[in-house]
Amino acid sequence: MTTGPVEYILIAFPGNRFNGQIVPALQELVDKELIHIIDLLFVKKDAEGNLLVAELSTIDAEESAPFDALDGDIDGLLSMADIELAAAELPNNCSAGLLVWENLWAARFAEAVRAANGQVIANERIPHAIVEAARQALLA
Amino acid sequence: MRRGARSNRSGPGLLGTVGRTAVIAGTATAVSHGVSGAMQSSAQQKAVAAQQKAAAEQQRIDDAVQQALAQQQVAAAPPPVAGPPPAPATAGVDRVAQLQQLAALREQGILTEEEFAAEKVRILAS
Repeated sequence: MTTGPVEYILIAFPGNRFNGQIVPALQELVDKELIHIIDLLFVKKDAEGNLLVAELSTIDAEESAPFDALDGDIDGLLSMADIELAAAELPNNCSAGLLVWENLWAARFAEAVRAANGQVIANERIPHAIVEAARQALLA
Repeated sequence: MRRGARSNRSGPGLLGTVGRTAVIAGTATAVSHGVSGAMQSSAQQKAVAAQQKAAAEQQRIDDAVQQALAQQQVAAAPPPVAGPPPAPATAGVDRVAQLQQLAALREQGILTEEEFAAEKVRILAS
């Protein structure tokens, strides 16, 4: 049963997809039972703005190899409409990874909020640059 | 990575309730943000966010207008050698002239109807 907050993220990369240190970093989060991966796929917008969707199972072995050992499930909960919505802001000629995961680390907090009849009204990821700028402004 | 048995992405999906509203508040109320020590109400926070989005949109419109006006002025400029010096900008900008230029930008397709309307409100309020 899913009790931790679930979220998705679309991260665009120049050139290759999730590579280098990203998969090991994800694996560490999984190993530490901090997150559970629910869905993972890749998208690309070509020069004309057409959206191409690549499932992990369809990209070639060399590129998908790093993910073979990554512990998680591709439950396919994201629909094609979801993917199009998430990728609406993706610029042309851009590849991106789309990840859906459950924040296991926040499960107890989420249950406590639910038990108190709390309702999430707003929730947003604040870009790192904005936080830094705000901190700098306080120092000025 | 395990793959679910029925993962052909034809289910109801997850993102149906995700909002993608673009807020362009042409007449955003002035809300003081950065109130130190005091707790802002949710409504105030939303107004601040709306104002910031409106400000960003306004900046984009201003930039587009400036760019288009600059292009128009370059096209109409007299020859550099013999031409008179450009007229200094007057302190009180003529609103009618601004509106006419704005309408021209809309005509040329540089501004959308929405942008034209938002900018017009701003000019009339200035």
